[in-house]
Amino acid sequence: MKALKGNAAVVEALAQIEPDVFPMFPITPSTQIPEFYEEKIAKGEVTTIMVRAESEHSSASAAHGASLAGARVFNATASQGLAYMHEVLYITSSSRLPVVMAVASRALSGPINIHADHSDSMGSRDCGWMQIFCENGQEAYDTLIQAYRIAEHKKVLLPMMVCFDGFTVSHAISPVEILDTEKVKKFVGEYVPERSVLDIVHPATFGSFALPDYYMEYRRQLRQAMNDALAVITETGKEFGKISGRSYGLIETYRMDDALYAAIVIGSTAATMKDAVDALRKRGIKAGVVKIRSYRPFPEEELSKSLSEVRAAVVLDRADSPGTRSGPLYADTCGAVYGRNSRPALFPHVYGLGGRELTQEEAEAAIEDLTKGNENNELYIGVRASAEGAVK
Amino acid sequence: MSDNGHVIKIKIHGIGGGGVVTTAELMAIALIEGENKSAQMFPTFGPERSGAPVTGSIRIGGRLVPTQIEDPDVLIVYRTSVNNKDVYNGIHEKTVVILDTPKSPKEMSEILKHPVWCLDATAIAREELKKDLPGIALFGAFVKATGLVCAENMYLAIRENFPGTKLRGNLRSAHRGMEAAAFSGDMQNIIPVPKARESKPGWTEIEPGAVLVNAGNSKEYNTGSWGKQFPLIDTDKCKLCMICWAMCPDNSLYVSDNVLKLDELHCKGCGICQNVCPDNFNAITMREKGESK
Repeated sequence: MKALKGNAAVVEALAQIEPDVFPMFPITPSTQIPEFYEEKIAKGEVTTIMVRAESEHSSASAAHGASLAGARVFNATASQGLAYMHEVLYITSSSRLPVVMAVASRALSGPINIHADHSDSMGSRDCGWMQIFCENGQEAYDTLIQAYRIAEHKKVLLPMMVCFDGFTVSHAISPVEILDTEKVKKFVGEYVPERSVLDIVHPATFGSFALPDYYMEYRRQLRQAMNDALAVITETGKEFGKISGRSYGLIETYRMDDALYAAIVIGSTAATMKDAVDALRKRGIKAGVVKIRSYRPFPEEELSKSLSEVRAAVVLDRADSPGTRSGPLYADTCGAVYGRNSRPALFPHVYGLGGRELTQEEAEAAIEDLTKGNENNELYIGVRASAEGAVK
Repeated sequence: MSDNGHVIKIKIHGIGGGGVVTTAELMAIALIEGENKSAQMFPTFGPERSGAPVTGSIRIGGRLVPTQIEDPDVLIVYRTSVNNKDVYNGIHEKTVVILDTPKSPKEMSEILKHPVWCLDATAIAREELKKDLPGIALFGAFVKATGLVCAENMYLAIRENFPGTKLRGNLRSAHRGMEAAAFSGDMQNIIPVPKARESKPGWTEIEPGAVLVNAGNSKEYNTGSWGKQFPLIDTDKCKLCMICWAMCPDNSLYVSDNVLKLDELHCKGCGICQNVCPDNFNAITMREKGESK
């Protein structure tokens, strides 16, 4: 058991996987990932080729190019960096390149803010990349090991973002069990791409053009791959359980078996919600937590099943979609349960933007309010309307 | 033709750089501002380059729907597209077909199995405008064949939209087009051309990532029609130094029977060969297509 920051845990996994190429550009709070990794290269522990790109748009483009050449590629970024890559992300996913990228989820400016928030990752939710969110350092380490196996699976061949909260996970030290390197290498396996732009024996054209009579077919194919990823993520999580004793799925449920009230949440705040549930249970309230681990592809079936006996649930978004009822998780949750025979009443809340902490009190209140049937009119938990103090 | 509540659909087929869009715009202006009709015009494009297929669609009456016209009531086809059977998809018995061709209406109506109006609009354009822009002559033919726009409104639209230097040539083109358009005569038992639907592969059959795996297929793509110019080779002056062959970006120069020849199916008329041919040989001169040799 080692005491590692989230970023360091990611680097440990990365060193065991030893990807071929890592084009980098620094941005808080992800910078330590290429930093720590370069230290390992300097010590001769790993031989990955690091490329110092001139921006995140360039690092994403370099990742794309290296992947096209048949390399196993890694990248890391956050916030504005992820936003800067935006147009390249679509091309990498539609080219079906299994790039893996760590995202230390951080608020998008403005105002400028470097703290934990999901607006960066949510801003890229439609670009065809898988997104798995990790609650803590151990999950980040474990998920990175599973990432390439999922992304490179023949039925998937899609890039993946491994997301974890900026600072609260990236810079927080917690116990992380590091697996034996041989086991990790065996689990991840060799990357044997079907094609490479450097293959002159089987030449092909990459990055082609499609008129209206073909574009839609290629996009439908990508949708299918994303759908097929659900099973692959589940299967890989089970297989990982066999080598580590820690199994993973598309969601994680906590005390949901007999829960009447639930909180649906993504990321490190799940821990706060679990504490809140324990406290509420002591008070006799049957509460539970559903943590979304795989956000893209969205686990419609699993989520709906977990909520089938629940009366009411609060959906906690750490990003907002101004102009709509709440944030993206709320919209996706409503989409998942709409039309199903039994579904809970869903109540949205936005919390934690720009790194503001959700206190234990607020966490308990968010669930407890469901039992009182009173809809809290303020969407944003803990926001101040005026100097008199926060709106509850 | 009358538009008693029925939407009238006009489709123009040509290639990029040929004035299709301009002609369609002028027709729309004449219809809206001259004839006071409710009309909509929009172009469709293939890849962004000269020589790619371009269409102009015009609807008279009805809503401004953003969909292509599949069943035109009037079909106008530029010389470059007359032999492309796809342009005739969807025409019905009553479709008025106007073709830019040197062939006679009788001949074309027999080929198409449909009555046609024919005129050599490209020849008119080459004389009046010194360019392959047959659209205005075709506009004149359209006026004669359909009466949807009257001649005055056509001339007005042209006057208001062409600058002084081009005006005379365009007015003359329009007038000559109107005069030259000839009808084949009605036919009994028109065999309607069925809407051909190529069977294209579906999403379960195409290569993931839009990777194109049949390398070297550029040979099958005849880019020769893209060019406005072509190299005229003086084989007496040519010393077969092969510099042009090496520099040609389209592999379109080759030697056969000890003489330099041009692959007309692939030459895009870029003129690099003329530029690199050594000054003391001067064996290559670029010429406009259609110019007499």
